Amino acid sequence: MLKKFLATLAATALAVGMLAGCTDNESASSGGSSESKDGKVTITTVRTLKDDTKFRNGEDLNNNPITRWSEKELGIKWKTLWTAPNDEQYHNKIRLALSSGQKLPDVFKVSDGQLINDLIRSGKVMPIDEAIEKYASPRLKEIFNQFPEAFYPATVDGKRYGIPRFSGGNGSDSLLWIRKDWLDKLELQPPKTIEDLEKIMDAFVNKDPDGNGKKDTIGLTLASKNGLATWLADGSFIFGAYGNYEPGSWSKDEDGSLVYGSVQPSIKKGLEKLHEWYEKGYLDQEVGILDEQTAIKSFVAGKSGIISAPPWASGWPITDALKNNPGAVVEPYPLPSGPDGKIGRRGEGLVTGMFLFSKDFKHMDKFFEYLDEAFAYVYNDSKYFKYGLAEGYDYVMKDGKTVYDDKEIPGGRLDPGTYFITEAIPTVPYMLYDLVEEMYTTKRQPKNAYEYTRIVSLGDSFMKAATIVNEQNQYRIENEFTGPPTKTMQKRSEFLTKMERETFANIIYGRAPLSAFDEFVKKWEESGGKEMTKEVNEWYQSVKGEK
Amino acid sequence: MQPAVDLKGQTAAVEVRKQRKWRGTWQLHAMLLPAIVIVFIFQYIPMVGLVMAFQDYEPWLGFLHSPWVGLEHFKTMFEYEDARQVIWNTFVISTLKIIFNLGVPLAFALLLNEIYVVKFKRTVQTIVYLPHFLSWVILGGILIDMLSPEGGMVNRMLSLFGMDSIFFLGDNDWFRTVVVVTDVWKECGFNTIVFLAALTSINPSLYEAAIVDGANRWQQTIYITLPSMLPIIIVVGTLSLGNILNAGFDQILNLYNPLVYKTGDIIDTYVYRVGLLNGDFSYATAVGLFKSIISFMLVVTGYRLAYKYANYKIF
Amino acid sequence: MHHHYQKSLSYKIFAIFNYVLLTVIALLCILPLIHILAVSFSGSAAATANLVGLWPVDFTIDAYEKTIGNENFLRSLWNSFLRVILGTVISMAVMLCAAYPLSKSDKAFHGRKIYMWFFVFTMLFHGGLVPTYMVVTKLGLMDTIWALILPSAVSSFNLILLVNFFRTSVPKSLEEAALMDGANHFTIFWKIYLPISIPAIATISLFTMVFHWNSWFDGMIYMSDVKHYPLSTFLQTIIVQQDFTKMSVDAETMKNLSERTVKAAQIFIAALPMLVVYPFVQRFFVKGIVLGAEKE
Repeated sequence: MLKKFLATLAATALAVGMLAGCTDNESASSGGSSESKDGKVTITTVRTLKDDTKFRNGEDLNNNPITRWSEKELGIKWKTLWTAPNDEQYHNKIRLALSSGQKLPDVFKVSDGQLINDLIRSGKVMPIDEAIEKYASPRLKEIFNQFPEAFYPATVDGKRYGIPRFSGGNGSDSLLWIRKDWLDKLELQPPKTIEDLEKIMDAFVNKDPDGNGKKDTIGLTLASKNGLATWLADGSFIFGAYGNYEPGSWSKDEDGSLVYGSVQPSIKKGLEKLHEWYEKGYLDQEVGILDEQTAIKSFVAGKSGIISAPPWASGWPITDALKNNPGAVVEPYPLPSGPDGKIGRRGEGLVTGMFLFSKDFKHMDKFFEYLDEAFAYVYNDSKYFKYGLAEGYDYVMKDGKTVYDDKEIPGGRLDPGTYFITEAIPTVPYMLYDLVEEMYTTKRQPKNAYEYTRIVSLGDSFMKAATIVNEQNQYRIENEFTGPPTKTMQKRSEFLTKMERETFANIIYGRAPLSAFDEFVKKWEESGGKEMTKEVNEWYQSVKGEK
Repeated sequence: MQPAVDLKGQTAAVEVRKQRKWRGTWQLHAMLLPAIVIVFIFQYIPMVGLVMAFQDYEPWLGFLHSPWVGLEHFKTMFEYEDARQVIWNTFVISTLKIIFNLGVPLAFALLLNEIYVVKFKRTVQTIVYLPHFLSWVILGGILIDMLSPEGGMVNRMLSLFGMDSIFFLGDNDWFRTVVVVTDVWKECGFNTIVFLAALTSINPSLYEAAIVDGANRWQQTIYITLPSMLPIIIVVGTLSLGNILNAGFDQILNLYNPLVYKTGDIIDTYVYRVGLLNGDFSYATAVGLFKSIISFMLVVTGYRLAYKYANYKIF
Repeated sequence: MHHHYQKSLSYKIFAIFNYVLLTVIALLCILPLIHILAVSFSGSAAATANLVGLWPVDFTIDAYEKTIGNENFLRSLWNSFLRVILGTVISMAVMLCAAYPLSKSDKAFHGRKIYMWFFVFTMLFHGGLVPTYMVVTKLGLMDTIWALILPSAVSSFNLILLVNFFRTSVPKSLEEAALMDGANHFTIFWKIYLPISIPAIATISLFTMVFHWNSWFDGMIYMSDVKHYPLSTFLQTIIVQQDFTKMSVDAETMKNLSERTVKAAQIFIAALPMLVVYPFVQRFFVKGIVLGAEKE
């Protein structure tokens, strides 16, 4: 007994010692894609599954309208091996699988630049240039050609390894939301310039817009803990009013090379303004410690008059603000311009992850077929999804008519789009807001469940805001560096970012003079910034070079 | 007055008798076996992974084939510009936490011991234990509200006493205090349990003897309770030395911000930020190993001191 | 339980002071919790705006419906119960067995020192995530409850506490007497050590239970199927702060964004079973005193 036990122990110890990442032979039968007798193909995958993803009647990721459709019409059986509730844990699990030499699933999405790079260098995922050429439909090829830079995150040595999962393009770009009732009460006009905005903020702070007799209101709700250009309570328009750079972003200089936004002179002007506004009480006293989700409380509580947020904010958090403050009216407005007429905002990235493919995966044709059908729905060109994705989920037929209303669908409306491998109805950058603009200006009725759920059901205020954002598309300042952290970044970026955040916060709070910015820039250059800039541009040349 | 414990004080005669009697300690070894096996498999075998600290670990190459870099990672750590600041912050915060997380629960257990209304005692005991169940993610949000300089609960109370409002979480003079106080608040009830358990095992006859001698309650506490609890106090104190470089990652991560990097940034948050960037395990392993070595040295020192001065062997 | 010293004036002053102090401390500990409870029953708009004090605003049980209504909730609750019970029983059995020999003197048990340091070492040195994960995978424990129980079955910290409790609470004379009567180690362990150490066993059991109840990370790493998540892992999936900079954010996501009320509700759901268990464990502290009184 003891001997046997010790033998097992020794074997385990040995096995672990041997775990050199070269044990690829295991579970060859369980993971690999295979073709069954009926000609159907099984594709394995893993994915994040947010807790709020709803299923009907005990269905799950391996059995739902989308997988049933895929099996019946396309002959693809999807098998989800495991799920994780958020990106961080999801990446953790993939990294562990890679480290312990486990077999990778056939298709999976990764949004962490370093992990994408590690996977590519491990040789366990395959280049797909040929597959795109051979199997991608004309529709897909057209989309891919329209956004070549979307492939950069998974391009190594001129070879493409990943298919991008596109973002909405400008879906999370911000505009101003202002308390219209406060403007009216104080007889103010909506702001066209930063100067106008300052006058409005001053009035919001000093003229008691909420009429409670206390000086307890602020002008602008801003989040700064995770950087000043962000997805909610965004401060990027302030910097955009003074130059073409945003803090934390690598964007194109006049000569076309990439430069780091935070060290550009125009940022200094933005910080000067923020300090001035902080001193005058326009900003939350705690602005320095507030992240996106804590910052909004001032606006939601009716203590702040302005927030810079994307169009979807009309649903949350603005509805909450309306609920808490009866009589409040919040309207969307275009971003104001700076002294030289400049406008600029943080532009959302083009992709929210790359699909990678195990080197043993044999059915790229099937994957592209599936992807094309998913896109067909968005283009309203699907032979399978005419009114919506699945009857009884996102629409029902009543008296020969399609009904999308939440209340009319037994059990409530569910979005089967979340069951797609893309984890949502796929998007093409800028397409959604283009569609919104078209529908908002022409006032036409929705043609399918997608147009209803994603646009019409969100209300007028959303549509107006999305139209405004779309009209200001030329002012987007995107982070053009989408590769893995460069060598110097891995070593220095933590220190440089810390110094940046600290310096900016101290300048805003007046704990450091404005000149601290110049010292920061100098130190940034000396402590690795120069090398980083060089490396980033080398990367840029390498990914751009081929296509 | 002799404390209940005296481990070295057994006479030689007893030892001899015992050795004769206890020949064949196989039973003792056998009882240890399950624990040894489990620890060996799940703790010692994975220690192979510590070699990562000396490698540039590439996930797909594993421990055997990843390139060796020697002490490179350790050098990087000490060459980090803010290394001194980060290590000092960690040390200050954790030391304060060790002291207060030992002293406050001890005092608290003693005070609870003086309560004779059982219901009150149990209620208080249960209540102070509850904060242990709040995760810092959640507490972080609550604390930001409570400590807000604009109408937060704490500042409203301060203003009742005519004091200016304080920006607790954004002020370098206050941040560490907030961290230590909230941590003690959260963990105090939990640590109290150990001391309460120790209190219950004190032999009541010792008190009876003292009462006969006319000792009052204060004297009883000084001469019986505390000495009887000394072994457990030493054990908990020494073991907590192992945390000398753990200042509480979850807590700091949820409370700190750029305004208080100067006093609040600690080793673990620093490693976390580095890890976010390059996702590789080597550097984190190296820093972890460094922390382990320091902690181990301190625990061993504590063990020796306890043996030398209190004549008590913890392990 | 009245002693003569309780009659003295100074003690009476102390007693009053003591009651007041402990009441204040208890209030300090419970007020934030009442606040959280109030938030959990409030409308999410009011909660987001930080308008809730110690009483719910726009009373609703939405947050609880959202958590408990999830089909995975009950399943994860069951997983957690299983984990706590199985984990605590196994852990305590293994650790108590180990603590007994380790509580002997060096002379009585040769090799004790080596064993002891064997455990102490693991308290401070850890192999880390990757190799532990490999061991668990190689042993075929992935996606089983054993992956949550075995790796953490022996806590060196708790083991050391147990050893010390054994040494301080078991009178040597009692042990000597048993030895004289010809009892072996198993008998002494079972008949003398265990009954006398009930407060210590209760304490460490409580620690172990709480540990198992609160652990979420291992569940996330080792369980492939969400259906096998323990409660804390499940709750973590709702609580966790999402990084929206890398996500495709749209109105639908934001509408479903679980906010403060749901987080607040979860605290109570998560703490409730412990609220039941703890007063129960406290009984054993008192019992220990009685036993102790009989021991000499």
